[in-house]
Amino acid sequence: MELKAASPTIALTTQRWLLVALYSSVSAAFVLEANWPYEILAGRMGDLSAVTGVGLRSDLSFVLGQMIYTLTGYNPAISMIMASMMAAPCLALLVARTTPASQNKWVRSILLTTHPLSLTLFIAGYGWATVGLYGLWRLLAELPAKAPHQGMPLAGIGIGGAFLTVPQFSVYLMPVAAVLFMCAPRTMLSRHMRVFYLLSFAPVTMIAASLAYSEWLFGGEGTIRAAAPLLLGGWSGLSLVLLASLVVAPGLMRVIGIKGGAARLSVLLILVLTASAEPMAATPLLGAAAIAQGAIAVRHGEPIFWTVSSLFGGLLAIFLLDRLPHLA
Amino acid sequence: MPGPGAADKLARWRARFGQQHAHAAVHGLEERHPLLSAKRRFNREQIWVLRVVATILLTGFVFAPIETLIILNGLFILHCMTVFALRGALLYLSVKERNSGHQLPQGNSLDDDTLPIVTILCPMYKEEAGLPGLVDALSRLDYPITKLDIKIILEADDQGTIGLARTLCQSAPYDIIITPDIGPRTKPKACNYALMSALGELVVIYDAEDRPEPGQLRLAANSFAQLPDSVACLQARLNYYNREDSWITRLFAIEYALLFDLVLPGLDSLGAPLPLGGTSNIFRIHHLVAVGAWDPYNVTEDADLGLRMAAAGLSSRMLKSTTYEEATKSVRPWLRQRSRWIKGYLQTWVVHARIKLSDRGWPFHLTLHFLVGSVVVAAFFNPIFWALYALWLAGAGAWIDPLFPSPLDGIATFALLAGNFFHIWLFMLAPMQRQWHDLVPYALLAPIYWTLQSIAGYKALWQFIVKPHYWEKTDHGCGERAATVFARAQRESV
Repeated sequence: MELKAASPTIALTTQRWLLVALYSSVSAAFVLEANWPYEILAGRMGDLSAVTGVGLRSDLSFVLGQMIYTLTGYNPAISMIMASMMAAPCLALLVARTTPASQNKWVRSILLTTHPLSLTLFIAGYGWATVGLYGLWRLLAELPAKAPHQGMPLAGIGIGGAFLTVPQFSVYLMPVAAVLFMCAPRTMLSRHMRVFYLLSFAPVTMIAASLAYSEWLFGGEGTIRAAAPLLLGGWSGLSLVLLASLVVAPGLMRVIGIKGGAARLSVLLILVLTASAEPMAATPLLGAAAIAQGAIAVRHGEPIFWTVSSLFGGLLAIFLLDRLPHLA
Repeated sequence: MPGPGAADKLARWRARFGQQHAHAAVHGLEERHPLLSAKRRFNREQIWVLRVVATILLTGFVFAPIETLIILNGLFILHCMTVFALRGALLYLSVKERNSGHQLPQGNSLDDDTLPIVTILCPMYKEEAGLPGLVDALSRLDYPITKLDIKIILEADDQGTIGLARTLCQSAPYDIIITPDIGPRTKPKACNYALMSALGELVVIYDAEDRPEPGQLRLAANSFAQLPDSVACLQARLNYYNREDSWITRLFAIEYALLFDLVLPGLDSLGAPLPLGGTSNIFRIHHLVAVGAWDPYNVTEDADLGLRMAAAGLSSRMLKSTTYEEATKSVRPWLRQRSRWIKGYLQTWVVHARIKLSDRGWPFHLTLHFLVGSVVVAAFFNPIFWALYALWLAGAGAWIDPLFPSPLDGIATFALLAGNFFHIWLFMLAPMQRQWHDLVPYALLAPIYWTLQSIAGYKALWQFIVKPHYWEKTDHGCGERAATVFARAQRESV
């Protein structure tokens, strides 16, 4: 994908202001003791109560919450918070490991982990989702700079990891695919498309297949198997076809001969928008918007800036999804 | 390199001491370290242990068959999970090692005059077709010819290759050696015999179908010069130049890429012993002789030697240089070769399991039980568990279910799914290191390859019982010209 046609200055300025607004609003909400994190947690807690001891879930916070609940007998809310808080050191470690030593990595890591937004997410039961998304964004962000044999497997692992940590990640899979095409090494897209698909999506497919099979074997509640229809059947008719096209968009565009960054981007956006116009209207749209922020920043931003903006861009999508469920 | 008239001197010397050399080549290790020789399949203690285990199992099957099977089941699953975790750790370590610079010293600290003499051992049997290709590849080595001592090692009844060798390799640095017809007819015996007249400080083995990268020996000599004396061997990476020939050569190339580009570098960075490959391992000769050289009764003498050197406090490291070989192109020869390897791994496992556990560090046991041993265990037990699974799917769950009580059922399911998927994923990653993208989709055929591995495993078990020291020769063709091989390798690396 050619994104260089867009003006880097405008993209950066807009993103900075968006970030400032986001930071301010979330910080204010935290300081003013807004109760919506607890409302979100209540929803998660309710789910946990409903499934304790039965079935399998792909969401790691949930799995750990379930284990803590079963082992300790604490109430579901405490179990969920404990499970979610376990992700905090992981996030700190991940940020420190992925930040160059010259940039005060531990200071940066502690600041990010203890930021009101991060703490809110931990308390709301989305700790592991934060780690999963941050990890994915870092891997995708570093993809253009890495050799294919190093970057592509890591991207696959990142997508697989996000599937295990982010609730209903299958919804984000299509937008992630779009970003992946933007970040992937050009040689992979132009000469080794099959390999590109295999390396990027084999882990997530294997994990999903394993979980679905295990769920069938052990008689779970069908939450994992339900993800497949959500991904494939949730969009009916034309949009399903278009979503499938989205995954193969770069190859498709090559075949039909569309050239130039702006034209390709337009096709991609049309595909996303059309595909999102049916039952799952808001979800992929928001996901794509958040991901696009990250992708633009990857190509044009400064390393620190795109790290932060990618993280919070992804988190914003989660927040909006939960805050505005009527959109989904 | 031998000077003028040296060939005659060597011939006279061999005629005089030939019998002693032949005796040492066959019985040297067995006489010095009887426990470490594979001549006897099991020693007395091992036979006792086997009897006790068999008695316990028999008693278990009579009085508590289900519980006994559950325990066996649990042990197999535990082994699989450990191998799974080890492979993951080795993958991580090999990537980290590549990024962190935990690599051999580079640079040319030695000039042509100070480079050590290298003895190249080339054991061959009925490989007339392959000899010209090997001579061509050796002539391309970037190493002063005066510092090479090349031994073409042949069997007395192989008149065709002997005749051709006398034409192609008649002058220095070549030295044609005819091995005596005593003891087992194996490659390690031939190499031991040739080692008696080696002139080099360093020794390396190349097979007839090998195409070593031209800079390999120079790189090894320079690395040795900067490494401590305790590093006794440098193992070059092996892979195949004919990987495009068939689906099995492709999978073979993937497997070698996994072993030599990911697993062994991971072991190297862990400081664990390396089960050496059959060729392109460059030794310091004094260490090789000190540990008793190759075991003529072991059909994977290379893996055994790597472990024996580690047991003697020596180490082996990976050399970042590749030797390209010719892979077997169809299933039948592949099975012959693979069954020999698995039989050799079984011999090696049994031999080194005789040594007291506390005499070796944990890295040694890691390599022995979870790398060498796991190949044997997987080959033998995988089909049994797949058969159980197929029966269960076919509706025979009533008698299989009790063998998998909770939580073993969950762990077994995890091992089945995660283990297989992870190994397929490793197969996908392995060829990426060499930018062999076209091989990646073939990783999906890995389960078929593993099935063949089990067939070879049962053949190996049968041979281990009836003819443990029989060397099943792998037939090779004339091979590709070295120039073609390296031109292709260069194209791919761009």
